[in-house]
Amino acid sequence: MVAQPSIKTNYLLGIATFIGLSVLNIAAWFLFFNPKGIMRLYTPMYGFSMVVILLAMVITVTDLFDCWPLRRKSDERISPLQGILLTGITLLLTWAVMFGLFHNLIGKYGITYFSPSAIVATGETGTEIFNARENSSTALVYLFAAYIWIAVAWKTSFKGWPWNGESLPTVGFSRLMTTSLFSLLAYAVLFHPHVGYLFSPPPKLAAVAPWWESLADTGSAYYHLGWVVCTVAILIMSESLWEGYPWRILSREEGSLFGGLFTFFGSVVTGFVMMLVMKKGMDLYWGAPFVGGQYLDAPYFRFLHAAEMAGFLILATFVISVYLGNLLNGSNLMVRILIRTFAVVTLATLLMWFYYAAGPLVLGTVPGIAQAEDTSLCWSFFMISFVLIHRHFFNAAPMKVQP
Amino acid sequence: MDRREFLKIAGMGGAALAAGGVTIGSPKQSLAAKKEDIGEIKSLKVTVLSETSWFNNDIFKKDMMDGGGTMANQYDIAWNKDNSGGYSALLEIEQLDGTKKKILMDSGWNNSWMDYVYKMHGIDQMLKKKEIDTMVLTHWHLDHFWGIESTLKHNPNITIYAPNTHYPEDMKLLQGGKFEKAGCSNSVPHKGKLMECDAKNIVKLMPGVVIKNFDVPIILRVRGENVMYFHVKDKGIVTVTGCCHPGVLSLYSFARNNFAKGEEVYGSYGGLHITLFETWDPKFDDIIKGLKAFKPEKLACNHCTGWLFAEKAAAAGLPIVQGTDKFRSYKKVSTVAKNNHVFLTNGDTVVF
Repeated sequence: MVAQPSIKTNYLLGIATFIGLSVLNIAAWFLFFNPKGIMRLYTPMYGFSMVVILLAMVITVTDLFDCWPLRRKSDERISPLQGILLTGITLLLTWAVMFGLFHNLIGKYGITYFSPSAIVATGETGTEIFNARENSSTALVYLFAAYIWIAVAWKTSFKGWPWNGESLPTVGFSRLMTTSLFSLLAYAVLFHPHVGYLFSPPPKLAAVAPWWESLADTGSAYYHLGWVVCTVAILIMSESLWEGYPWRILSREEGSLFGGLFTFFGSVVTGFVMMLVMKKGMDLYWGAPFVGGQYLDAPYFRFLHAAEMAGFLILATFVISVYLGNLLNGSNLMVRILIRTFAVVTLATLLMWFYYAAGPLVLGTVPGIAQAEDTSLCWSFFMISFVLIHRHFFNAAPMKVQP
Repeated sequence: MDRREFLKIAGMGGAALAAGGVTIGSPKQSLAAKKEDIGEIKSLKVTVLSETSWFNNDIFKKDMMDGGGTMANQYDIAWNKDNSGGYSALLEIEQLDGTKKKILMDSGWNNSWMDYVYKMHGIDQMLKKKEIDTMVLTHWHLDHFWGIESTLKHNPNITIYAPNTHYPEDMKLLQGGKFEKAGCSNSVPHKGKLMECDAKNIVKLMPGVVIKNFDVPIILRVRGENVMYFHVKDKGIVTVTGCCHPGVLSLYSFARNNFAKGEEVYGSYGGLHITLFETWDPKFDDIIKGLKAFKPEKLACNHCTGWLFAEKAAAAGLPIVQGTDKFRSYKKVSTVAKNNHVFLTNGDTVVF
């Protein structure tokens, strides 16, 4: 998932390339999501679910399958035509998974809440098409957030284990099955209770009440989304900025079961701590939240906002690694880590400032923070998808980034 | 390099981001050290003129989604006029010396509906006779403001207290304007005082009655809501809201932190903005749990509170004020109205 730095980075070209990509992203946002734009899909959960699935599919094509079948070996360079084809495949997968697999297959013949029309067909309280679409989109957001976490965690933690030496399709399908299995498990425990209790009466025989309520002071699964996205941020930052540390201490280059478990659970603990640190910062600044509070006072918002900040950290990490060659590649390890981390935190803060200050003008969002109908994760994930597509499918052209 | 050093670096990064990130919002202005004595009133009577802002949720939501979703500009949406009603209430305050004062809260949406409602309750005459010379506009949402002509045509000089977070379109409508696509118009320019309320200051209307503006983002591009706080002698704090977008518990929390005896919450009237589209979320269970902690004695809710929340709150033992069947005498009734009386709906009254 993480780009290797180019041999020699032209910083000006890198910055110009990133700005160009951002313009393209904002144009696409205007076309699909901007509330003042063309298709206006950011309702918010409907558009958000599309973005999360898009990112999940980008990760599937790049991290799980290493761009197979358009390349046979991981170090093969992708041509522009192949890049266009891979982009098309990714978009097609996004559409097929969301509308084909979930809205029309699983939702209609298995789990009702994955399909807006199946929800409406129940005729239960409040189940008209808008609510139904938002609720089914909420389920998809959670499911694919779990998928993204497991996919990134598996690649970073276990690396090639246990399929070292196998062909790309063998490894790809094996990783897909493993990721799907564990992400379903994570979704069932962490998110499904919230989705079940989006309905009234709740399906008590199919979903337990949110079990974390007394731990988190909220029944909202934003609690889990918070630490899950923080964990992903930790994994991506450790892989890119920290050159694999601290997990490298016990993990082998080619991956191993023990090293994988150490990395996986270590990142979960670190991600959870990161969420708590961020929440503590918010509590000090805005005052302590309380049960039942809304907007800034809501405990669930504090967890969501931790995820939002982690989203900007992930985006900033990719920007620094892809477009600025990870900044420093000489000097000693500690200096490199400190400078890169400082740069990423600074850039993430700037990106946050952009979102909240310029967002109403550029992205069509409502001014203010803690708007219930808005989460910056939608835009940051959309931008991350763009960066990854640009990096992996188009070699970050016009920069000369290695495969 | 060992693991401890790395964790330290990661933790520092997270903390720095948290510190940087949260500065984008505003810090809490704590007045806790100096609690304001807002005075007291003898009683407050609220008459629900209309709480049915629209009559069919599905139509309202379809209009909103077709027009760009929850963050679209309300003036850019082609609303179904037949579905519009409005939100408005009459507040009758008795001060400690026996003086009585009437305040109009909000002016609804559809002028034809609001004319009908005002006539039914004699509001038109009260406005003409200047018995009502003050209106508190809770926020600039269509269902609270776009029916402004119905008020101004009887008293164009009425003093209006409104959030200062308005847009040019709001001012155009207030001063006499028309929006074809949205289907709203006002032919009577406002000639009275427009008192703009900001989030930094509390506006004292009279002893025991204050307006507090909460600068919160709201759907349909609106920002900021005026909330009225009343301190009823021997009872406690009462909040009166249009939609309560800041959250009822945040209102209680503000009173507790900023008003003398603010921790003595007596109750609330108005929309509480919870299950407005009759759909549930686990975070609404949080609100029920939080409300129980504050132990209010009277919760008179309607409008965007949602029948579903009111039902669940009543079932959970919260003191939901029972409504009557008066709303059925109105010429139109909401499609989500039920017979369980958990809503204080059109024509009902409550005394605090």
